[in-house]
Formats: sequence, structure tokens, C-alpha cells
Amino acid sequence: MSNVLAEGYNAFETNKSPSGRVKYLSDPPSVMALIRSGRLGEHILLVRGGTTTFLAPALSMGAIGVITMSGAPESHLGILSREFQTPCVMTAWLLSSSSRYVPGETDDSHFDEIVKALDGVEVSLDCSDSLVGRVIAL
Amino acid sequence: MTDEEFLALNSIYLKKIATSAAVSASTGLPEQAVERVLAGAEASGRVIDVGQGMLMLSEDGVHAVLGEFSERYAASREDQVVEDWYKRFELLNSQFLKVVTDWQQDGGDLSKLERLLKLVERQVRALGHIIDRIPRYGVYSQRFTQAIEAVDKGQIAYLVSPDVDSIHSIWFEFHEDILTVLGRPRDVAEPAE
Amino acid sequence: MSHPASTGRRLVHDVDLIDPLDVARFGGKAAGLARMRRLGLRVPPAFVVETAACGIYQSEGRQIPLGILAGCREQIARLEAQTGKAFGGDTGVPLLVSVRSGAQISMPGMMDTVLNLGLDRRSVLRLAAASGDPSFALDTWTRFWSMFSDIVLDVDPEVLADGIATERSRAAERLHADTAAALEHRVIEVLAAESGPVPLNPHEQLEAAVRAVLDSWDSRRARLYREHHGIPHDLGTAITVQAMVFGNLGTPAGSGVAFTRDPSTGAPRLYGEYLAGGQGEEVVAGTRTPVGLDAAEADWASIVTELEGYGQRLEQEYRDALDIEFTVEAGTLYLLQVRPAKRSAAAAVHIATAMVSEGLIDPADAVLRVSRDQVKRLVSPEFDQEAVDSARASGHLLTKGVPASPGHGSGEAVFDADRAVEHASAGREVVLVRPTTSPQDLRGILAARAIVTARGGATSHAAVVSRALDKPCVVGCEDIEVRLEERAFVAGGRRVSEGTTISVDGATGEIILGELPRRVPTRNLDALNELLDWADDRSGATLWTEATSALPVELARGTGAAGVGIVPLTDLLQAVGRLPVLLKAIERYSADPDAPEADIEVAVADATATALEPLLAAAGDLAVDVRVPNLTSGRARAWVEKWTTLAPHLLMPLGARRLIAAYARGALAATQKTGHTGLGLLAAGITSAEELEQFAAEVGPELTVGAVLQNPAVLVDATDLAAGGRPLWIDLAELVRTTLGRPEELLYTDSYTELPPLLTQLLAGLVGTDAQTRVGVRLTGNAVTSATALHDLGFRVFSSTPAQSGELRLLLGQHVLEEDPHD
Repeated sequence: MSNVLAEGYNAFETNKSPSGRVKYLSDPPSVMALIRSGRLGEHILLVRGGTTTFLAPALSMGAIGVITMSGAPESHLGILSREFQTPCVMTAWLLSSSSRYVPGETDDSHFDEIVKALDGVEVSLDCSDSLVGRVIAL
Repeated sequence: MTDEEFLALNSIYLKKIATSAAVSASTGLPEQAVERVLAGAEASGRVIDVGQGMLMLSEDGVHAVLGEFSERYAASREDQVVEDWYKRFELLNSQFLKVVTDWQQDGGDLSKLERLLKLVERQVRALGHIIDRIPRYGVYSQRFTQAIEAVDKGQIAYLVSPDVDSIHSIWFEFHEDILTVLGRPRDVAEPAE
Repeated sequence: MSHPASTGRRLVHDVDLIDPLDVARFGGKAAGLARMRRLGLRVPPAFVVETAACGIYQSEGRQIPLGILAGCREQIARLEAQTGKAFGGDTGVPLLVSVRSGAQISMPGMMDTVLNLGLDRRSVLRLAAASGDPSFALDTWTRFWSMFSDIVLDVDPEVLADGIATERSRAAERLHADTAAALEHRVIEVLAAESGPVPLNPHEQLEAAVRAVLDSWDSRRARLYREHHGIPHDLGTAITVQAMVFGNLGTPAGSGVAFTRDPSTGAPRLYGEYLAGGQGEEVVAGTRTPVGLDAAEADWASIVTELEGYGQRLEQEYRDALDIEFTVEAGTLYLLQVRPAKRSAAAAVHIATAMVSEGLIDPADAVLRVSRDQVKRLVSPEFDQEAVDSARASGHLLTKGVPASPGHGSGEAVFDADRAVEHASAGREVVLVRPTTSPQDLRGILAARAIVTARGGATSHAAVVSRALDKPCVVGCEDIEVRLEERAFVAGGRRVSEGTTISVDGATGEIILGELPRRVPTRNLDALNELLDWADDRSGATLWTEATSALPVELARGTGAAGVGIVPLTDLLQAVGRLPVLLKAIERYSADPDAPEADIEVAVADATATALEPLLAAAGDLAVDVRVPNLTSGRARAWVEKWTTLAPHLLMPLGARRLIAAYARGALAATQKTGHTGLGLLAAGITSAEELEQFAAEVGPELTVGAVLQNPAVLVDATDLAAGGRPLWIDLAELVRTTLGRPEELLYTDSYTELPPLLTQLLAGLVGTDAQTRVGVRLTGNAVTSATALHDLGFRVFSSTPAQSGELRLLLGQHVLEEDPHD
């Protein structure tokens, strides 16, 4: 049976179920490096979500899937993901943890835990539900 | 940095990734001038070509642009008028994001369009109130107006498509712009859930 | 040149006195109100400034023509007299009005409607007293300011709301002269900072609103739109000002909605409800329970009678069933809005046929009034409602998921496609339950009576394919935990193992333990058939329906089918559990095609006869076309063990001649036993007219012989086939698939909207000849949408599932009527 690692808000409902190795991108230079490496399409991108704008280039250049740790489907990134039809799971939380993102009250340990659990893992995204997006271990 | 350089590099900074043609269209600078400036910036390592003519700023480039903002807008950062204007903009911004999301999720229902466009018109009028402080923002008014016209003519791509100078692209850049003028990190400015 | 004041006055009209047809001069809203007034219906009084005013305004450099404002004042005075209320001023119940723009053509940039104009800090108190509801009065007033600031003053209503929050909540706590004054004061402050001095007097506010409408005609966007579409700038917009009425003033008072016919059954009696002392939005929001019109309180009795009268008059005028929004204020009934009523499928059909017999509309109108979806709903077999209620009461409801494809089905739960196919081939009904489905599960979905998935939404694979196949499907059953290794699922705290019968309601999303009996509700079929007969009159279409057992045959008869077909013999054998006989025979003939195997042939003939008898008996005088098994199909590949080792010649349409002879003998025996005289035996997968003749020779002269055309190669012989006199069926989905070279697994997820041009060309060769050959098209799932193109080519005979036949007949009738309404 499927092994759901994390869930979050689904930016939009789609049958597309991209899979790849999770890659955490923490700043604009890492986005640029990934684009230039030509390996953008191999990864599911993981970002904090607050600094969503630096992810825009990845979407333009063909990112296949995105996981954010904060931010709502009603945000610039949500809007862009729908426009590009790139599956996007937002404000994801680990099923194995009780830690949840609360705007203004969450510290780095919450994000670090998620990065630790997901970075480098082979996953697929299930965004077929109208509200909940899922990150599934392959 | 010359004004030309600032406008061109800032344009890439705001768009995050762009072709020189897009920079020219957004800034109003002639293509040749833009190409000249960007070639120079590439040579000095501020701009990087990531393929297919798409340009991004290097860390140095970002640093340089942010430095320009600090210098040019030092006064604005202390100006209560600009601060109040930004608070007003935040209210409009939340409404905008909501209405666009709504429109996208409804499969592009055209009757929601009117509401969206009236919001953008409100933004254009609001920009009129800040032009004396930041004259450069006149360009945004023009861009918004042109995009509205295109949508009214039936070119719906001018609402959200990243391939043209769409309303959402302009708004997205503007948001980034005003935040940078105010010297604010993005995190703080995301809409409340 | 300036116009005298009298001109201005002449441009302002009581809607009672205007021509309801002159939309260009008065705009749609005022014209609509005038139309209702002509019918003697009471609407809240209104006046209109005609579109000519707009032109004068522009040409006079944005000056409101002299006399317009005076004319408006006169009309307001008339409204006051008619309603007994006061506009502005210091005493009396306040008169509130709405202000609307209204051009002949709508365009961007025009002003939105302003409501509740007429309140100020003193009259809001009088409104609170008159209604006995201070929060209603306060809400009405703040809503006015929100709209006025947004629409007339161009100020962000959020900014206003933010700015007055404190004063508003104080007024909400206690609405009194001081809190109202403080609120008004604050409103002026906030708005003045944004846009300058703000009118407080209702007459000035009205003037501002009128000016805003006139200005909006000339807004940038409206201008550009007109230029882009070639609309003249001098058309202008009208301004409609209407008194507002409230369901909480006086007694009796209230708001409600009435339907001129029952929206569920179509029965011709007034149906609806009202909320006493309530406003329209409350009825819609469902926060309070309204009173049914049939159970109206004593003081509402005369109002209901009045509504009935209005309803009848309106139906005569609009020639349709209507929904009427109304408000009663101080015992007076006002109609606010009239629209064609939303109605259930059953109601749609009953209303359409009833109105024809009442002489209100003609049959062609009736055919156009009903939709395909509505017809579909009426012919699907449903669970017996009592059985459902009793199952729920006994706690048999397992769970509820997302309804993805409507319909009702029951069967044994199975968890993979192989098992589904296995059980189905033994004649058992199954329900496929999976975490999710993919194209590899297609044969399982085909074999199942219903599909259930634990995950997924309305656009998932299971949902899309089920809808194409018209099978009930429920997805996203979060509560279901599928345990494939255990061959069971857990839901609602219960464990359901493989083989347990469950029932699926694809419309409500309910999964119920046990079998629920299904029937086609017959109460609507007579009306539906009457309507579909009218549709057939227009299209000239003849419909056959597919069936493999008695229930669908009865349904076919009930819906006026001309025949039963195409019936795959394989399905019939499966239904009587005799498929293994055929599979064994195939293996034997593969080993040696010509060896006489008398016992196997007798067994096959016997099985065929047994399989056909029940169908022919049920069919009675309906013709039946049966297709012999096609060994190259995906199904054959899945079911015949070692299909890959079959001798290749066996895969040719005429490869198993002994088998063909055996089918023929069995078929003949079945016709003799049942006395059925209209059986046709069809060859499958032929590639030439010659092959068809050889097949006919093998079958013998006692039975009618025809063919199912499944690949484009055979269409080269179109002319010969058309002249041959043998019935032909075109398997459209299969032909498109083979023409485009698509794999079977994608058969139902593919949706094409146009036939491949090659196919259209080849098919044309089969029609339009003088021959008496019956040529029909078998349409399944998505292919139904091709029916109109085929009808245009000249095809008139079609076959479909019973569930789709009504839809198809309607589609063709509507198609002909839309092409030529006076046909």
C-alpha cells in the first residue's frame, strides 16, 4: 500500500502525478544552479514558501512538481503553479510529526525537520483530491 | 549604476528570470539599449544566461541591485506616506490574489473577470497617488492599462500567463518592487492564511 | 446648444407608461418591469431615465440635462405616494431605492447596481423602529455605504470597512441617535480623506449615482469595448431607479420563492415557501426554516391566491414554468424577479408534454426544452427507495464517498481486474474496489457493475472511464482502507471481504452492504416516450438497444426500440455459464481445424441455443441481431488460455468454420423453440464483402446473416456491401480505434470530437444508395456525440445501451430542429 509521507493543501486538482527525487532549494543561487545543471526535470522541488518568488524561474523552465512548507494556494506561487499546471502541495506537514506551521509563530526547527525527512527521497505527488495534496514515498 | 542599468537589472531582479525582449517591453527602454546594458552586466558577472536566452541575476547582481535600492530609496523608507500607501496596497493585494485564485479555480469564468479588472483599475488609480514619490511607478500604470485593454479585446492570456506582460505578472513584479523599495524581506509580506 | 428643462423632464418615465419592447430606449431592466406591469403584476414602483439622456450628457460636456433632476424628483414623489414612505426628510418610514445602469448591450466598465439608497443617521432609526430589527437597519445602511463608496466614489470598500470598524460595532451594540451620528460622521471622515466631500442627503446621493451611471458609459473600458466591437457610442445607457421592499416591515410580511409547477414532479400546481418577517437571502441561506405555500398561515391565504393568479398569467406570457421571487411588505405582495424555473429531469419532461397538450407550446419546442442529461437520468434503473431506507436504518450504510458517475449497481466486491473478469465470465455480477485505477484496470472496469476507489476525485481515471461507460462510480472514499493482501476492505468500522455483495449509488456516493433491487421507475416513461416520439418524427431515426438479459429487453420495449442489438454471443454464453464450452472448443480447433469433433460441435450448438433462448423469448416481436465471437478481441486474448499459441488461421473471421456452423445450428434451434422470427447472425471483423458471403454460406439459408464492420479495410467494399441486402452494423468506437491505431486500453479515456476524415469518406459509401440494405451505427459511451455527424451523412439506424437510447433520440431530434427550426 502507499506510504504517505506528508500532506498539505492542494494548489489545484489534477491527475498529473509527478515523481522524482526531492530537492530542497533554499535560495536563488540554488535555483539557478539546478536550472543550469539540466536536471530540473528529475526533481520534486521543496521550498520554505515564504520566499516563493525565487521559485518562479524553475516553474518557467519546466519544474515537474513543488512542495512548500508555508503559503496558501491563494498566493503568487499558487497562481503560478495553476497557470503552469505544475502540481503543488502547499504548507505540507509530515504525517510522522505533530509539528504544524502557524504563521508568525513557527521557528526553524519545524522546517528543518521536514527538510531532513524529505530531501533526497524518491517521491510522487498525488494531487487528485480537490483539497488535500499528498507526498508519497516510492 | 546608471539609471538605464538600474532599470534593466531591476527588471530581471523583479521577474527573477527574463529575456532581454521582456525587459525592454517592461521598462520601455529600447531593445538595443537593453542588450548593450545586459551584455555588459554578463561580462561583469552580474547576469547569467541559463539557456534559451533566459537571464537571471547572479548573487553579485542581486547584491548590486539591492544596493541601488538602498541608496535611491533611503528617503522613501522613512516616509510615512509611502508606508501608509503600502498598507493600503496590502489590502488590495489580498483581494487580488483571492479573486485571481477564484477565477482560476472556476475554470476561468468570464463573469468574475469584471470584478478582477475593476480591482486592477483601482490599483492604477492608487498608483496615481504615489507617482510623486516614486515617478518610476508610472510605467506600472501604463503596463496595467495596456493589459486590461488586451483582456477587454478578448486576449485572456493577458490575465495570468507568464508568457506575455499579463496582469498577474505585472502585479507580481510590482509587489516585489514596492517591498524592495521599503527594504522588506518577503517572508513578512505573504498574505495571512 | 442646450436643451430646455422640459426636454430633460420628458426623458424620465414611470415604467408603467413605457413600451416594454423598446429595450434600446429604456434598457433591459426597465423593459422587463414594464412587461410585468402590462400583465397586471405588482412590482415595486420604478422609473427610468431613457438612454437619450446619456447622449445629451456627453454632448453638453458632462452636464446633466436640465430637468432630469427635476423629473427624478417628481418620480420620487410618485414613489413616495405609492409606497406611503418618505425619501429623506424627518418623518415616516424611509423609502429606499436601487439604482441600475441598463444599456441595450452589456459591456465592461459599466456601473454596478447600488442598493439601499435613502438612509441617513435619522432615517436609519426610523427603519429600525418600523422593522423592529435594529441590526437589519444597520446592515442595510452599511451595505449602502459599502456599495456607494465602491461604485460611485471609487473608494475601496475594505478601506471604508476598516476605517469605520469601531463606530460600527458601537452602533451594532446599541443603535441610537448618538451611535448612528458617530458612525455617519466617521463615514464622512474616511471617505472625504479618500475622495473628497460626500453627499449625505438622499437626493444628492441619487444625483451622484445617476451621474456615475452616465459617466460609466464613457469610461475608458466601455469606449474601447464599443470601438473594438463596432458599437455606436451614441446608444447610451438608461438608468432605472426602483423602490425597494422589505419582508420585515408591517404585517403580514416576508419573502419567498414560488414555482408555477412542482419542480420535482412537474405537477401543475403552485409550489414554494416563504419566511415570515424575513428577507430573500435568509430563504436561500437556509438559516431558518420557511413555511410551505401549501401550509400558509391564515393571513397569507389571500397572498397565495394572488400568487397563483400571477403564476398562471406569467405562464401564458412566457410559455414556460417559472420561478417567482416575491416579497410581501405590510400585506402587499410584490414580485421581484421572474425566471424560467430550475426543474428535475422528471419535471422537465412532464412540463414539456403537459404544455403541449395545454396548447402553450408545440412538440418541436418541447423537444428543445429537455436536455440529454435529464433523459439519461430518467431511464437508468434505480435502487428501490424503500430498500435503501431500510438498509440505512439497519446500519448497512458502509461509507459515503465522492459521487463520480451516476447510476446504481450491486455485485460481489473484488479487488483486481483479473478477479473481476474471472467472476464476470462465470456470470456473476461484481463491483471493483481499488485504491485507485489505471488504464491497466480497464478490463476489470468493463466487467464490473460498479466501481469504487478509495482515493481520487471527479477527474481521476476511474471517474472518467466510468462516466464514458455509463457505470456507477464512487471515488475518494477516504474512510475505506483497501487491504489487497487480505482481499478485503475496511469501512465504517466493518470488514468486507472479497465476494461479499455491496451496492453502489453513484449519485449520492453511498456504499451499502448487501444487494439492493433495481428497477427503472416507470412513472415518467410515458411522458418521456411521447417526447421522444416527437423527436423521432423530426429526425427519422430508428433505435436499437443492446441487451444481454430480460431486464434491458423490457426496458428496450418500454422505450420504443426497434430491435435488440448488437448482442455479443459471448456475453450470452457467459450469462448462462456456458462460456467454458466455447473456450474448450476454440482450443480443440486450434489444434486441428478440420478434424470433425462432433461432440464439441454439439456442445457448442447446445450452449448457443441455451444462451439465446431467454433473450429471444423476452424479445417477442422485436428483431434481434447477435454477433458471433471475435477471437482477436482483447477480451478473447484475456480469457482464452494460451491465446498466443492459437493457430493463426483461427483468428481469421472465417477461420473456425465448424464453430460458425455450430453457432448457426444452435441459433436455429433457439428460434424454432421460441418461435422468434427476427434473428440475425452477424459476422465480426470481416475485411471484404466476399468474406461476408462465405460466412453466409457457412451459416446456411434459414437465418438472416449480416456483419459488424470493425476495421476500415472492409469499407473499401462499401458499394458492394450496401448493395448486398445483408444487415450491416458499424461498430464506430472500434472503427475509430483501428483507423487511428490506438490500443484498446485507451478506448474509453480517449475522447475525440470529430470523426477521422478518412472514416467519414469511407462511411459515406454505405449510405445514399437505393438499396434496401439496413445499415446501422453502434454508438457507445463518448461516441454518442458523433451521432449528429452521422445523421448528417445520411445514417438513420443506430444502436446504443438502453441507458443511452433516450438521450440519442433526443440528441438527433434536437439536431434536426436546430439546423432547421421550421422543419
